[in-house]
Amino acid sequence: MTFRAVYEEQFAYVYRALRGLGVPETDVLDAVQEVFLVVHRRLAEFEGRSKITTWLFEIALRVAKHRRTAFAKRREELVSEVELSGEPDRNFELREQSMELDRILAELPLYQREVFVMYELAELEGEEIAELLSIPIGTVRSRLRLARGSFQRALHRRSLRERFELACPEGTCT
Amino acid sequence: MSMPKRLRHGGSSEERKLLSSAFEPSPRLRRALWTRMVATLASAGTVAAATEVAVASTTLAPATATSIATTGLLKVVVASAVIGLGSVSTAWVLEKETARNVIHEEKVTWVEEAPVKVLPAPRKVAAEGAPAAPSAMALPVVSPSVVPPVAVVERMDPKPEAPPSSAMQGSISESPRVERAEPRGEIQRDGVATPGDRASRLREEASLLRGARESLRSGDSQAALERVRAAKARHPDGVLLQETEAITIEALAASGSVREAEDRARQFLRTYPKSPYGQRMQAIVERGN
Repeated sequence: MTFRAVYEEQFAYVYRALRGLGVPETDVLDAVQEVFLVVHRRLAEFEGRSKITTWLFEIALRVAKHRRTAFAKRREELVSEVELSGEPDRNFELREQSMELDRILAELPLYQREVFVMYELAELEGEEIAELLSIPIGTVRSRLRLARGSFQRALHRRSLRERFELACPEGTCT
Repeated sequence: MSMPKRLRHGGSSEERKLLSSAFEPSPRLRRALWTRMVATLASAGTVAAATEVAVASTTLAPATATSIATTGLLKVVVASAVIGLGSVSTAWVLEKETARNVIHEEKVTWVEEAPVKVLPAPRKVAAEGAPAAPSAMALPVVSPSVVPPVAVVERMDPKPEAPPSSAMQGSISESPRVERAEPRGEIQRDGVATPGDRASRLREEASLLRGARESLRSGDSQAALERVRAAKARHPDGVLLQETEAITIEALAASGSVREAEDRARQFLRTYPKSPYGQRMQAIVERGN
């Protein structure tokens, strides 16, 4: 498989994986590029030893981890730098959903979030997740169960909040 | 014990919706990042990468006058990469060139496939891979050292459909090239905006706003106001109206027009209740109280 083909086919996958792993929208293109530069360098060695998505996710995990640390330090700075970033003409609803999922995932502890994103967003198999995270499959399942619980509670809180906001527009109830 | 059914297939409608559509990048981003990545590979010390393209085009493309011209262009590309102009425009040029040469040879590592389908500009490539003659071919083969690279970049600007987002520009294009490569009076043809035109307009709009933002940062709120007004006058139905208004309000606040800034910030918050600038607008409202 050529580098270009991998890029074309897997761009969206890598993008979603990184966003799911907590790389903010303002940072995600850099992170995607970082992943694909690794792919470019190592594609010849890959030789289909695993599913390509598993390999890509493995790289994405490392990149996301590195960026989480780096980003935390310059979040403030970025917030003031990104006025013109993102995709201005992007579908509004999609954007809203991404922001919402971002917020919900941010509430999950990292160990839950990783498993949740790998299983629910990146659609990796349980065994693949176990291998990537070096944990037993039973742990994958229990983390997923916990993560789903957190996710569902966060969704529930969101709908409560929305109802409250509808009932009390612009803080009229406070 | 097997894994449970995934939520995006078997969850509640809310879960399915959220997990299926959030974080979905647009094809525009995919294309834009590709061009940027090619530029990165070519400029980040890997002039070899660009050379690779040059080699490919000279050895694999038909030995015609056009291929010679192509090589000339690539020299300029390499030169601009070396001197630090290796930004988005370089990527465009590279992509344009690789597409033109339709290189299918597997030996070439990262431009094996001509990215014809992702390139916006109408391009005719002969079935045998013989390059079409684009306008840029009119450029003489010149040594980069005698050509001001900026001029070259301008002339070769291929007007891609997707302008790089400013997030990308921020990290890879610190040079003021964007301003120089602004559209040159071809905003619309026959009253119909082509994707290229839209991209040009968006680039210009973003560029004007960046200028305004820079003025604001440097403390010149009057200049910032003039610039946002110019941006609004030139792009009354612009894509970045929300940004325009946010910068205007900040500039007003900075210039001492506190009351107006506050009123407009309130209006802004009503119009864009979920805006990423919401907090800043809120701060302006609160400051006025």
